Amino acid sequence: MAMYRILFLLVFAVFSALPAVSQILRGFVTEAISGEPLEGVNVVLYGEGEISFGAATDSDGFYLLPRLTPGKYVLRTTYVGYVTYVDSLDITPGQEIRQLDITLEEDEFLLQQLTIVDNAGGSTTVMGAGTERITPAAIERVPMPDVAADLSAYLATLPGVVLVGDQGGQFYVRGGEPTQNLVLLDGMLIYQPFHILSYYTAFPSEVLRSVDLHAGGFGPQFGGRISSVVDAWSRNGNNSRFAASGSVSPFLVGTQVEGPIVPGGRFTMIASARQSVVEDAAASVIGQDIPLLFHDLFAKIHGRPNRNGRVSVSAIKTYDRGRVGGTRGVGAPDEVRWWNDAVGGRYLFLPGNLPVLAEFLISWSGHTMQLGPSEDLIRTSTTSRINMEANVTHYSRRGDLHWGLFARSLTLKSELGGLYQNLDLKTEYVTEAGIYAAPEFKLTSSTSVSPGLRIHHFPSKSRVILEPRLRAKTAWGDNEFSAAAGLYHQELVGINDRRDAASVFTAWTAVPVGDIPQALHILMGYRRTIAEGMTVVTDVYYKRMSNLYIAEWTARPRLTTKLQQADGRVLGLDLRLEYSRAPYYAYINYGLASTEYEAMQSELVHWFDEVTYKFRPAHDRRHQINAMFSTSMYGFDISFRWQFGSGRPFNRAYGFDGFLLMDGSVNVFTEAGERRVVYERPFNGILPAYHRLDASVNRAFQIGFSRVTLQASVINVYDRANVFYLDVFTLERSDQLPLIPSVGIKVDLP
Amino acid sequence: MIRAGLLVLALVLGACDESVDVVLDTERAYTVYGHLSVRADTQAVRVYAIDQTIDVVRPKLLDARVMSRNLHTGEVYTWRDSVIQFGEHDFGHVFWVRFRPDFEERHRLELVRSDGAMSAVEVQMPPESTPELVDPIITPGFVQFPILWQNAPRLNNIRVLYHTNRGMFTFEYPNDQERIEDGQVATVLVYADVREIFREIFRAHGSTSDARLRAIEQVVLVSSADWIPPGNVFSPDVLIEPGAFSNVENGFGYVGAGYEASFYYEVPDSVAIAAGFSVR
Repeated sequence: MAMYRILFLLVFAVFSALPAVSQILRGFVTEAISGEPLEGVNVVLYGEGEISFGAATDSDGFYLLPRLTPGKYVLRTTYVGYVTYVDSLDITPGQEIRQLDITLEEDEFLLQQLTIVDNAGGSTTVMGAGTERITPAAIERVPMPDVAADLSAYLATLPGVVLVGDQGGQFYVRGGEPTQNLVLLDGMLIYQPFHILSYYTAFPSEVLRSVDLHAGGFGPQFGGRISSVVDAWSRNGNNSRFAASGSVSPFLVGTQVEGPIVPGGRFTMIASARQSVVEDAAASVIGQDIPLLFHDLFAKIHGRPNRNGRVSVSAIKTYDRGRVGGTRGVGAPDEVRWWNDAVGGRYLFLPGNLPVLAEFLISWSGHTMQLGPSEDLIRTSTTSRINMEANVTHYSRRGDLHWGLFARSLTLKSELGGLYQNLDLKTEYVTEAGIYAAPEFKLTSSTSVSPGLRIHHFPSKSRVILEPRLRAKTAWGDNEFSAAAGLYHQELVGINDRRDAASVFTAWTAVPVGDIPQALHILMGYRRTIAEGMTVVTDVYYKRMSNLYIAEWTARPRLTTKLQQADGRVLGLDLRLEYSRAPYYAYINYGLASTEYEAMQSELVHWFDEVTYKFRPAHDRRHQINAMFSTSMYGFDISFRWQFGSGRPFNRAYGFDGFLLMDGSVNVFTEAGERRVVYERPFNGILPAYHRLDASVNRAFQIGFSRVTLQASVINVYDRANVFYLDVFTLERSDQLPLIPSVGIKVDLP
Repeated sequence: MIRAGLLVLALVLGACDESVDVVLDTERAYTVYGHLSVRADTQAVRVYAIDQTIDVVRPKLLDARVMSRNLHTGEVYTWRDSVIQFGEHDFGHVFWVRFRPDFEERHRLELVRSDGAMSAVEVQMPPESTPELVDPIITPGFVQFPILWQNAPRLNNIRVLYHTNRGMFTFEYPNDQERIEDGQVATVLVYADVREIFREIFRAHGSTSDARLRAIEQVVLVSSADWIPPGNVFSPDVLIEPGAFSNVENGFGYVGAGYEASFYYEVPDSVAIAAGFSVR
């Protein structure tokens, strides 16, 4: 705990040491009815003559105009679809800080006009190379086997994101492993962010305000993972009235409630609960066993205790259980179970005399995963993390300074039942602390550069890691260019046997042997509006990974292996063509990627006459196409999505035989020997291509006070038999879900 | 343009294919393990078919005819199948025949499936070898016995047995051996083994003062020259990879030739004393 005290003393010492500055205008911009923060609102002060100052609100709806010249101004606050707020302001020399919180009202007339020219909010927001802002409107467009939309379905449409199947909840971003992704909800770490039915994330998308996907090259505020960051933030509850909704589909039953806790809406709440029914309902629709069960609970309280602060507390609980994978040879089928628990608090603070926004986060995240025969789950991995951090932004005219501190304490426990033979896991305690800084220099109105540095210290391991980062963007006419680079490390690794792509069980541990996994990211992005409503976005990326932990190659047909270190590299190109002009919205994404691992197992030289062995891992999908089309006609919202993915590598075999160790005069009458798989060279086969068409039709009705939405959807319209995986031991084939028609209903009570 | 169209057509047709060949066709028929010995009246090998499923082997006859031929005399032997139960669901096929090969003979073993697919292996019997102690080093606290196994092409499974008044102590040795013109030299590292022997005796009896060494025995498998694993270590993690250590044509596994032999050395008092033992 001494670490945390030092951390916060340091934060306050820095604040108190900074000199006060004069003439600042700041505040929050929120939506008038719901009280939800509005991001991207333009707040501009027009002075006499040419003098003007402007800023855009951040994801908390916060804006700050520093170093104003005393004088008379006209304040204009504009946001697409909302009535412009205009006010006169008189900035006087003695007045140091003035706070002006603004509420914007929807403009019904403008909103109607807006839907004619563009589908507001549905378009992709690219924030720079490798980084995308995902809005609820964009998520809602993607067809789902459920009337409620889900982030998972949207992520699956992105080039460079590979979900190997519709079960298991594993997603790979640009060649990285699932355990190399950092997924945060309201600042809380979610270890297993997808449900076992991969259509669903562990948290409902209806409670989300925004999601930032950093597919690579992320800034120094994030660390501890080497692949990607999904930074999700939930909405605040409605501060003016209670609202509730409920939905039913063959996959899921869900409900949600929100509203003010105290009169005046200073404190609000939002909560949701979801329970899968796929095991009974969907399984009976298709006449096929779907042994999957999951549920999740989410709740958040948000408040405005005073003008200078915002506080929120969030909590989530999830549970998943199912059989993913085959029988692992002889015996009962393996069952996997996991659950996430997390609770976190956030305090947003505006110091009284500084052009600063400070954020304090504290959270606890826990995760348990079990594997084994259903009556005896012999393998268990339990992880918990306490996180405290402070993130500070200093505002100035020529750029902002982002910096922060963090301290963490982790407990990792595992009972692996011989799963990884050279890994003797027991209870581990790891502490982490660090600091980062990322100044953003605005060189011109359209060019900015943000170098950064993260210093990550592991006191319990006496290890210090330096991670330089860089982001830059510029615009040249209609052409927007961006670039990013960074060095990333992952001290806490998730160990998984990826010889079988369907393998879900993950054991979390501090680096077991050898060096820390490391990745170098280099990205370049380009965006251009090529015609009205039509945008092209492209990203080129390179990742160099080293000290990865992968399962050793073995012909033994059982779920035990040793671990070995490997290096890897990823090269890729993402291309997106988007069209958004009401009533049509469409895009086509193409992803070209090449992932290659280089294994260093000591036996390789005896097997293949090579010291190292280069291979394509099971998630290396070379070509990926996602096409989406949606429109509205006669009150119906119609969406189609077609996905294509070229075949992934897998392990082919010649058959099964047996093995006797001929180390002497072996008595073949008494030596039992063991079964063996006669594999071809590792990952030398290619599975058939994956493709699927999904369609959905929605229709909303107003019935009294309630709004009823009916949805009919078909998943896998032409009933393509897409391979989910081939059991690495039994070579049994398991397919993804077949054609599934479904009907769902959702009722909103505003 | 036409070429591009054909490429697209090929991609589309390829994308339509839903089937996947999980198990590849192989002409390899059998996996065989065992060794022929001049010291045994019955020769036997374990035979696995290369199956298309991992299901446990059922207690049924294997589709295999196994014969061997003495390549020197032309004599042919027909081997018989026997199903051995190793565990509750674990059955194995052992083919056996009654005959005793002679030193330096060459035998060819053939396993034929009903469809004609055949695996085969040729085995060279090692010559007779006689052991001999050469240039022992006997100084107080440092005793080692190099033993020459004359004419031996290869030694495996080297063990050393110490016969004492406190019982027998056995040490497994790595397959380190020095090849010289006359054969193989395997050295008994008495000085190293004695430390462990004394530790064991002390643990059991509380004292080593009356421990007496009577004899040292080296037991080896005199083997055919090709019975050498990759890296000279019989590591199951290495050898389990099919093909990593195999001499079977059109199949997998390993069939060697060898026989057990031993060198027995009665320890004189002077050597026992130098090794640290008592002679009272």
